[in-house]
Amino acid sequence: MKNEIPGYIPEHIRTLLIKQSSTILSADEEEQLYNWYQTLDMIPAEDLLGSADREAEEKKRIWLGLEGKIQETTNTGIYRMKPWIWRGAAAVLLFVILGVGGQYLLHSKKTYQLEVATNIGKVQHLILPDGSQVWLNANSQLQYNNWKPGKAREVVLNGEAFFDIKQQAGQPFIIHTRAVDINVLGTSFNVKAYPEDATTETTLLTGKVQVVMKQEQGRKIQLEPSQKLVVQNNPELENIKKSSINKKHTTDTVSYLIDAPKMLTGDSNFVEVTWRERRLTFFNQPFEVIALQLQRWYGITVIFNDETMKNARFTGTFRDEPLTRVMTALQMSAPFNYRMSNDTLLIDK
Amino acid sequence: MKHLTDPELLILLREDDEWAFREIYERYWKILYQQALKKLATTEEVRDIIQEIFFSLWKSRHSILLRETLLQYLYTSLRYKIIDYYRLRTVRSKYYDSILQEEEHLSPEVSEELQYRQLNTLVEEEIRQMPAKMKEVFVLSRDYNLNAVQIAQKLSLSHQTVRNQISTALKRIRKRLDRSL
Repeated sequence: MKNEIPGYIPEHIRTLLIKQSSTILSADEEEQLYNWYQTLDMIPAEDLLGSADREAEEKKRIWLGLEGKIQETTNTGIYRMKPWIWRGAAAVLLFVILGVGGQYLLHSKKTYQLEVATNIGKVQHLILPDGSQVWLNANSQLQYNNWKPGKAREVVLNGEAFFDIKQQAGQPFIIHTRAVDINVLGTSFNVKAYPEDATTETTLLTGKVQVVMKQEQGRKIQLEPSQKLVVQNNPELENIKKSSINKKHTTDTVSYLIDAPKMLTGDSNFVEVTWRERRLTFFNQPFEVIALQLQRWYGITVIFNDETMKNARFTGTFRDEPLTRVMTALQMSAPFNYRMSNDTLLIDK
Repeated sequence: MKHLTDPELLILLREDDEWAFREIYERYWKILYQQALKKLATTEEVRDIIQEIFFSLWKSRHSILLRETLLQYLYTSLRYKIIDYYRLRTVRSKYYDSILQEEEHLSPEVSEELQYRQLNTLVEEEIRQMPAKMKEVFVLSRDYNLNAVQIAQKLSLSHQTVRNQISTALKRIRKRLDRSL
């Protein structure tokens, strides 16, 4: 039905519209309105989408108005541009050190003069005495010394950090963690070595690193850029289930494996390092593992009243979102309930 | 962005990603525009409505919960906006009719549509210049069809104050219309 009188509204619809202003319409009345809307089929006044040029112009015109509207209401800068810090990260020249096996034994006897520690939910950037840069994730500690020239640069990491190491000839850089030691010269990479996590992960972005696995009789693995080494923290307790690191349909267990870092579609950064942009990211991870991240991020304790939820997997990324919003988003992809009691988050079915 | 699915775009939108917002606009503005063109008389109205739909999507990005596809959601949003547009029009034109009943200014050849447009522009202009309280009272009376008692309750004012405000507002509008018609 072509309704060719612009703006003509039948009398009974007028009555409904006026009524709608002050009261709630009945289901039947709502349906009448709905049906009237469906029959609205006017001959367009102008065809502004007739050519590609006009269409582009119309699209731009509406968008500009929209942008203006948004900016007007958000002068606090909510509508901000966010260049990804890592877009096009420059490659760093690398020098690989070989033959440093055995050095992983050193740190047990060593004492360190300097220690930087972060609280829950905090990230700290620091510059080491040699000019290397470190971003320390939440609830982590880094110990180091004022290194003298010509001596190995050694640090002890408990927790997670991203390293951008300055290359210095003859001065190897060694990171000691509980499960692995990492030998580097010039390179950037992420180390996740929280004692409460089941694994220690080394993700290499640029350069090369050599990882010494302490529980594997000092076995060394050399990583290439865009590789991730996952090492079991307590091999005697349980081996890594391959399924827990995104290798589905297998029950094989290993004490370490080389995996690829993960990237969300449309993102420009590996999931493993989004924390540096204050982003909390999950990539097909079980709730049980996500809970550990939430604990460090929000300073809460997570308790599962429903065991099955531990295995529910989630994917998503959040920037500066309150915990409630993260939980609401998670609830959208898997049905569960939660309660907050003091600083404890209880997950129910 | 182009290869992302709608649910993925919504996840990004939730964290204020304006590129995701732009991509949603790119995907759906045209189909909504064409739909709105059938439902509204002028392209000006179409543009306004399309802008409003995407503006509300942006405003509700943190709380949005989809029970359907994104396109269905936008279609529903379009329907609500257009019905609301007709509702406002109807209520207003009824209001102006009542204002003008005792006046004999309008020549009969002026079409209903044109009459409405002129009135609307003039009245909106006059309303903008009203003191805040008067504006609030008048808009509640006109756009929500509330009577003086209901407005008084809503704004915690006395009935008499509300009546006075409406009466003064109407006088201002009549004066304005007298001057220009």
